[in-house]
Amino acid sequence: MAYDFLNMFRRLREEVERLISELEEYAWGKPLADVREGTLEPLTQIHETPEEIIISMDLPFVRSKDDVKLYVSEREVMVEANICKEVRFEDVCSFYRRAAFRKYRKVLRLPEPVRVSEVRARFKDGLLEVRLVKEKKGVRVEVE
Amino acid sequence: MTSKRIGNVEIVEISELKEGALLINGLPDVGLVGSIAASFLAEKLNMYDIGYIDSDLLPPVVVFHKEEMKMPLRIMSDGSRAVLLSEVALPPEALAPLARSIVEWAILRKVARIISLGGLPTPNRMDVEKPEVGGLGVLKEDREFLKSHGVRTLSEGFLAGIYALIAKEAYRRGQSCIILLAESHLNYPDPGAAASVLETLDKLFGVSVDVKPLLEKAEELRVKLRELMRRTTETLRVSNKGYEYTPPLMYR
Repeated sequence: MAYDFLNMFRRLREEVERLISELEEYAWGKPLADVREGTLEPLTQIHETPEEIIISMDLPFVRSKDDVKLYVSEREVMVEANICKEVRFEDVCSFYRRAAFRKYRKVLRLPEPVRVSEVRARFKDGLLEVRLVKEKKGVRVEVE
Repeated sequence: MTSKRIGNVEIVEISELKEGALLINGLPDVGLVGSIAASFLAEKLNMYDIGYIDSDLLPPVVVFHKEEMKMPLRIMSDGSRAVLLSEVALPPEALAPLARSIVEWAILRKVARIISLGGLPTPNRMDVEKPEVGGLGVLKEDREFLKSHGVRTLSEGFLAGIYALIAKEAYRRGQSCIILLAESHLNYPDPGAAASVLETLDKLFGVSVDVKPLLEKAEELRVKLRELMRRTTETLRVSNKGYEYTPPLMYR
């Protein structure tokens, strides 16, 4: 019982830390890069239809689909992609003067659960498109 | 140096623009098409600063290039053509005052035509090899000019954002104004679309630049303009850009 209480407290603390982090990002504007990890966050678009969630990501300097790792769970998508050359921004932005980037990384929480077995993805000219079928719960009702 | 204040906006001229010049707008909008096209044009035509636009409504930033401080919203020229470009995303509250000032200044300097360069959001842009360009003419002679040069005119729909406000003000004041829009990504920097729009600009006005270097640098631009694109996306959302997906009234 003591273990359950500590576990619950740990989860509560993690959730509070996550909310504070999101608030800081909202207040200060988080850059699209993690300098410590050497990763860039790709620009991402999410579009929903009644049946699907369609995610696209801009991944310039990623050469082939073999350089892209895509992981999908019911409520989350994670993409990692290797950049073909070291990207530096010090010529255009002194904020990044000591940073070098070799990878994209993005974790997305999905607005609805999806069917993991029905994911389709394609990669073309540095653009990744992932199509996820929504897990529908419910029955069709005939309208009289 | 002369300065003109129009409401909350100040236009400062370091040197005067020649009468009858073209004013080419490359402001942050869909796919950063205009920004990429205008800054490429300014570099290739060796344009120099002839002025800048400032306002308390703009973000409190300055930009540095080759150690030199520059105003983020500035006017560059090669004598017969001027380019207006912005290195910051324009906040929604600044759009209307800026649009009025830009058109007012264009009329004051007897600009022959305002040309706004931008993108047309295209959901299947991933499958489009060479973006097509369509045009909008504010005055009747602008539409006829586009058609006579073989540029497809967009017949139905909404235009939203800074270019819509410039068009509105140009319409009210009887100022010639054309908007060139290339099929583009909505939220990703799109150098391919910028190249298409520059080719159409050449076709219409003889503003000739080789776009091959732009296409060769496309990936580099896509990486380096991510932050500006993200900030522009936020302002596009707030400035009713969604109207461009809305079919207008059918019966009128």
